Amino acid sequence: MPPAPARISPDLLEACRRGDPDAFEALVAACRDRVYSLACHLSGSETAAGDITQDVFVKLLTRLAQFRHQAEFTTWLYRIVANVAIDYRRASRRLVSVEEAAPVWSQPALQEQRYLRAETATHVREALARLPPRFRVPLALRYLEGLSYEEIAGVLRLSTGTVASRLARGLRQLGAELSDLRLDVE
Amino acid sequence: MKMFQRHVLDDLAAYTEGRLDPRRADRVRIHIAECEDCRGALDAVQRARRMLEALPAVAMPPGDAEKLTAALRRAGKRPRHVSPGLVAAAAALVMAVGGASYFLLAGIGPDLITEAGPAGLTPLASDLHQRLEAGNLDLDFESTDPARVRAWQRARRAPETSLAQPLVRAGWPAIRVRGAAVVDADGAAASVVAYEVDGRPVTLVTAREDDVPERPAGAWLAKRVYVSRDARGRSSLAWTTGGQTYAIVSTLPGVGQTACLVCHADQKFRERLDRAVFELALND
Repeated sequence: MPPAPARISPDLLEACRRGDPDAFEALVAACRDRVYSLACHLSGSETAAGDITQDVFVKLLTRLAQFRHQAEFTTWLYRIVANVAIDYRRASRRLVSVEEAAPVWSQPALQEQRYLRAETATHVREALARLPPRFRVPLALRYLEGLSYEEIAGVLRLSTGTVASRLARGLRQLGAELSDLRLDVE
Repeated sequence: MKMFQRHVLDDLAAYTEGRLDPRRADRVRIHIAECEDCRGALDAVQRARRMLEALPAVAMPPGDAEKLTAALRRAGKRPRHVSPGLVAAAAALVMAVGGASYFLLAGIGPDLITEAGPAGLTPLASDLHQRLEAGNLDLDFESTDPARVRAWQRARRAPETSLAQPLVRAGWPAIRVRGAAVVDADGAAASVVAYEVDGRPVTLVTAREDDVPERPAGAWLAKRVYVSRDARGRSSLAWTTGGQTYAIVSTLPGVGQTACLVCHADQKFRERLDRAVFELALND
């Protein structure tokens, strides 16, 4: 299970809300890779992940004043990422080809982080990207981002029971697609 | 497997994570021992979970990260006070990082207003939407043909809705009309049209302008549409035009703007709407 997402300090958020440019830059730096990674997993494409990430930060830039601490910041941010990614997929209405997706997972900077062999990871990501959003998003938030069932329920505005059943159905569908694949770890 | 035992498929993720209470976990364990289908499903769940957890995170390529940071720096970075300058700067950010050039689209779009406006038909539409979703309201007339729904409204002398024939195009949402009803709106007749956009239910309510005292004001040229979202994540759009006042309720993405395509079946309107929604996102 990946580590739980880092909490953003209330002081940093307050400084951002006051319009402190350095604070906003620090916030972007703290969230950027997590947003990009989730966008990659939800969209299955580097091009899409770049577009989604920029869109998320435009929304963040202009909506931060609305954030009133009723929700945990990361919950709010994940909701924005999920919505933008789903909208993006709906707009593009296509699946990503192996050729198009492959360069994403072979970035030289990422080689030290790899757990699955690159080819296996590509298959897993493609299979995840083919799942319907109602399964894909909870799976990514749980098993790639490390959110708890309760946090996912908050992001997606679902009951924890619904989160549990979507995780089970999504895993089952994904597992069936990956039945010929070995867990090939390096 | 004993015939009376229910499958435990929806419990399998929580079971593998040790989240079930002991009694329920026992039930799953006993069932799996006897049920080949659920045992196979458990294998699939465990396989998928192991593979997902072994996927590495992906860092933004350094060049893109620098571009994003630089563009944000140029954008003025004052999220609290959204000024025309910031809107322009945010637009520049979108273009600088390589996004769609929404601002190059031509034409006057609807004027989307986020400030609280007159209630109009929104509370009624919200209530009807909830009842339709819960199955507590039957449609008076069921048909997926927009022309037949309009003909039915005309025959009932109810407020008419300009439903278009749904377009089927790549990238265009799938719109399916379900049917219509006539309800009472404080002593006047209001038309209800239930439909779906990409499988999500949408409720459109229409009444004659004069029958709804607290309605959104009509406008010349750009349509003034009030947008809002309730605590349950439902968006509403409310406006007045052509002697009638309208409200749409849905849980569609954005402000639920794709719901408008049930009447406005043309690409230019959609582009104008996309632009208006994008500007709204920058301003709200």
